[in-house]
Amino acid sequence: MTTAKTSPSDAAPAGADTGQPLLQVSDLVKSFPVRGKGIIPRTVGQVQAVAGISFDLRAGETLGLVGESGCGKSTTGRAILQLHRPTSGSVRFEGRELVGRTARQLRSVRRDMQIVFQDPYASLNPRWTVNSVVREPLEIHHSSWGDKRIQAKVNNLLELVGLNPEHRNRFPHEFSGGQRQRIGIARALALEPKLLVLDEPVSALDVSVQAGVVNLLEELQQRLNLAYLFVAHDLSIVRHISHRIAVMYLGKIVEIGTRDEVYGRATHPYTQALLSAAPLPDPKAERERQRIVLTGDVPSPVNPPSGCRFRTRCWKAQDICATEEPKLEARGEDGHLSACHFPEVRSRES
Amino acid sequence: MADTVTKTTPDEPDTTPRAGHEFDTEARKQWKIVLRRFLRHRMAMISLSVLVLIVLAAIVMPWFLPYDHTYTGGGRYEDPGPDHPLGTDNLGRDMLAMLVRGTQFSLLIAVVVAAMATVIGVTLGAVAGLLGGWVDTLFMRLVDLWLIIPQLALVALAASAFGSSWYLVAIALGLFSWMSVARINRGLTLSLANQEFVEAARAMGASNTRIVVKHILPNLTGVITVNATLAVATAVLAEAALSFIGLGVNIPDTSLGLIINNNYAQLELRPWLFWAPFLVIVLISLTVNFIGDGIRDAFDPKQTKVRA
Amino acid sequence: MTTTAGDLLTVDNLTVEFPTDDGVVRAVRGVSFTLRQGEVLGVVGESGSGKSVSSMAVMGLLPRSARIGGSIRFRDTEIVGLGQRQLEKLRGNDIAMIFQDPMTSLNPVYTVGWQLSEAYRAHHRVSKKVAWAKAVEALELVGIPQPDRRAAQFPHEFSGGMRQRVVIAMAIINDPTLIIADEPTTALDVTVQAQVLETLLRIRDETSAAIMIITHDLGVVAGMADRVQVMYGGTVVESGQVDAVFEQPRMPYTVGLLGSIPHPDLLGKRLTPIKGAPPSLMNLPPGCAFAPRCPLAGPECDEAEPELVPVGVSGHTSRCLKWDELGGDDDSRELFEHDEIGAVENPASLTQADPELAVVEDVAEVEQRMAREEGSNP
Ligand SMILES: Nc1ncnc2c1ncn2[C@@H]1O[C@H](COP(=O)(O)OP(=O)(O)OP(=O)(O)O)[C@@H](O)[C@H]1O
Ligand SMILES: Nc1ncnc2c1ncn2[C@@H]1O[C@H](COP(=O)(O)OP(=O)(O)OP(=O)(O)O)[C@@H](O)[C@H]1O
Ligand code: SF4
Ligand code: SF4
Ligand SMILES: [Mg+2]
Ligand SMILES: [Mg+2]
Repeated sequence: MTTAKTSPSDAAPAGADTGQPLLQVSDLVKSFPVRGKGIIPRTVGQVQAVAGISFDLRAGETLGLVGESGCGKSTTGRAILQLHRPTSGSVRFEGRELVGRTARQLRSVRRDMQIVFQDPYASLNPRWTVNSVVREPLEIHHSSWGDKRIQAKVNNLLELVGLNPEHRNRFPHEFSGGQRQRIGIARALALEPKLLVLDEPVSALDVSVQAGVVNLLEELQQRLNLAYLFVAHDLSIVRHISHRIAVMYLGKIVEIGTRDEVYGRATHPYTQALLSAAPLPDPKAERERQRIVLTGDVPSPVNPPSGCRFRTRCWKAQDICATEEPKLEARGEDGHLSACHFPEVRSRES
Repeated sequence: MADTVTKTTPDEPDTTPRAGHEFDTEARKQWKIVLRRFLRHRMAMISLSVLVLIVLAAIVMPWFLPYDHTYTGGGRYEDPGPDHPLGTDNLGRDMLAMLVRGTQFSLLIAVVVAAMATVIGVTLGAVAGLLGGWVDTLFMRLVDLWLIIPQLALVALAASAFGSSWYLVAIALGLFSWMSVARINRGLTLSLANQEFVEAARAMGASNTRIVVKHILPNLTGVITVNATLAVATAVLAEAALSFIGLGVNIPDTSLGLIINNNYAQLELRPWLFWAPFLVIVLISLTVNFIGDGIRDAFDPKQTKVRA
Repeated sequence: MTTTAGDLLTVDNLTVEFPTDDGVVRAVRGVSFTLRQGEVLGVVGESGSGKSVSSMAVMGLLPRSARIGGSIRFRDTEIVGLGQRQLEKLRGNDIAMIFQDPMTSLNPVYTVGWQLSEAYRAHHRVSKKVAWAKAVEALELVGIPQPDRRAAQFPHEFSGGMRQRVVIAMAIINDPTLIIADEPTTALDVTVQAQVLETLLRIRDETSAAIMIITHDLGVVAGMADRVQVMYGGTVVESGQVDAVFEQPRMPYTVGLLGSIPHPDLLGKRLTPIKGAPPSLMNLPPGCAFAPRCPLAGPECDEAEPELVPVGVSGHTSRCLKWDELGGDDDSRELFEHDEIGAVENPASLTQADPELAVVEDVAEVEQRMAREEGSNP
């Protein structure tokens, strides 16, 4: 086996043993005001979209972030990049604290951290051609390059993500969803960042292009030692690309561990329900698949349940779950972190 | 493919590209695309030519006319004839000469007012909308304050201090016509600033100036042009009102508004005295309007009226 | 094409072209299919192959620059060439569409509840209050917590998945008979996805509405659709019952697609995308559109585009000359096995074109390191 063909092994990634992590997030909180109805909108409460999460990300590593829709994954990504100013907590990038910096101070750091947005249409200026969209980061940070060089780089990037030269002069509304998503990826890669937040980068792509982009991301990671925060709903893709995986529920990380720990030996009930709900691309197996059906309403982040946030839908909930919040700590046999009072590996054929 | 029978509209020529075409698709610059779309906008191009003609006429014609606007030697209310193509007015001034002079001033005033209203209004509106917070609050108060200042009194005061002249009128009008433009643009910017593409630009490290100029403004062209058009039309009329009470253009100079004011009583008897300046005003407003449409469409790629 | 009872939608030889500055984009070419009442049709295929455009054509929502040919019949109404007024009557009431990008169908400056109640009031004469209540009900139906409070919020205050659920609520608020869902669950997590798909199927069972669902998630198709239609290069290349197509794909593109799915066996290895770039819709090859990337391609494939012919099981059709050479499904990965990454033949060209691009580790170094690691933990 040659290295070029290797994708994430379960072992620590390249550079894992050298010094501090690229990104250190601790106790990150982001809340949004909730306004009431009325002529003068008044703040009537707070949504804690992200309610105190902590994790590390090393250079060359991919952390998969999965979880319920609306649980705060995108907000986490934005808060890390300071696009949403965190309410509290700390985000350290290469050891430097980002929280509290002015917009001007942040601008130089932005080169090294980029994001691919979830909604490809909303994140492209409708009045701009694709060519200008991909040029923009280069014009901002490499204005000294000169037109020729910038354009050559743009051509390269577009080719890299599989867009034809004929696409360059078109506007975002003239593209298919998947093509738009690839424009976003090309734009984020333009500056060769050290950290890339990928918010559902492949969900709009067909599985073949998806496979191509995933291979490309892995290849770039190995070459350039990039770190990825990879948000996705497609669990099979997350499994393929991630070294470690964090599972979020209602603003909190409920389980975090290596790929094999989370996929093979999940101890949190929510993780187990999530994994069981993933559809299989085989009609027969899909019809026979046993799914844990979560009952009960998704609680509102405005007033989350006391104790364990998952207890309103958990089939194992006991009294203690309502009174005491389970900490995210090493539990179970292999000792990966899980936030459940009753951690238990569910026997499940994979 | 044999069974693909395309029912295309007959006026569309088949422009299927030759093999290898895709490789010579040049990357075009954004402004070139906008310019191209504008140049292909038929109404805008016609309007632009008409407007250019009007401007040229206003500048060049005085040299070729036998009389200028200071001439008062004609008879009172002469009918149009070879000597005075548009007749004369109550003071015996040559109507054509007056019209040319009036167009000059009205255009100047309109341009200054529209430019001031747009620049001040859009800049303040966009900055307030983008930055939000206390900047925004301060700005809204400023607008409120500005709205309650008695405009006429201030102009009168200025006129008595500096003597009245066309540019004073223009600047005064300009200073008082940006508020609605600013309000509308602030609202729109506020909603644009929340959109992800602005966030994306910020994530790339774009400065606020860049965000306003490159991302917000192109998306505001629609309202900006509509408002600039309105400003032109209202400026011409407002100037007439000011001139009427003696605060604007001074006799012997004149403006289109003033001519109309002086002559509307003659609408029944000598309609041309009214209709000629009126027509010029309408023509200016209309052409500006269509040019505005053209600019808006050129910036809006979803507009298919111009096929680019 | 003959219309039999129960046929809700009949699309016959649909073509859509977009003239652009650089040439004509032939986005949809000769697409034909029918949809019966209560049927669920899954549409899969290459990104940019005209899935969204053909569904937009059914909705009469294409931009004015588009040239449309062929015929689309909804019950007894011909949709191609229908006036705006009549289209509006159909749209939202009889045919509802769930869009791929939620933000394209939500207005950022109005509250979600307002938009939903307007959608309802467009086809029902009710008071604003009743419509608002209906809007809240619809939000509840798609599983938005605290629907009454959420209704008063603006789209940008919703997460991506919640926006998508709002769009779904908007589509079903008028009980349509045909639901076109363009990647409705792409932005949703798998538990909510299951919930939304169940909602859609429940509506189908209650009203016997037909559903056309476009998706890239082959698992969703496997679990939900009755029939599947595979698109490539602007046209249908294979269609048939879900089981038949998944078990015995008769078109190399479908084989490649199924082979690109990440699979636990592939952990630690590269995925196997289909080699080469998707075709340019302005400049299609004369023969089979898939020929440049097809491992089975022969000279006969370049002569003329193959017809969609019936293969094997009833109702299974394929646009491939060599369909009978594709037997089982085990060999799919072998068929497409290659070293390519992304869409470029050689990703190193990235570094060549830009010598200043930082290469942190040399491939040789990586190899050494990997060897060390493999040695230390077997
Ligand atoms: N600008 C905002 N104002 C108010 N609330 C917000 C805002 N942005 C997000 N939220 C709320 O924060 C919560 C988390 O949103 P977020 O977009 O992070 O979810 P997500 O995990 O990315 O979900 P999805 O998978 O659906 O994209 C949601 O309840 C959302 O409504
Ligand atoms: N307005 C337009 N002008 C020019 N080309 C267009 C326009 N709209 C779409 N296209 C092109 O038509 C083709 C088909 O687009 P469509 O949106 O149907 O793809 P799709 O199959 O839905 O892909 P995806 O899975 O990525 O959403 C694409 O190649 C796209 O670039
Ligand atoms: S702590 Fe209790 S409620 Fe929470 S997941 Fe564990 S068992 Fe369920
Ligand atoms: S017709 Fe030929 S080129 Fe096309 S898919 Fe079949 S074998 Fe491949
Ligand atoms: Mg999100
Ligand atoms: Mg699409």
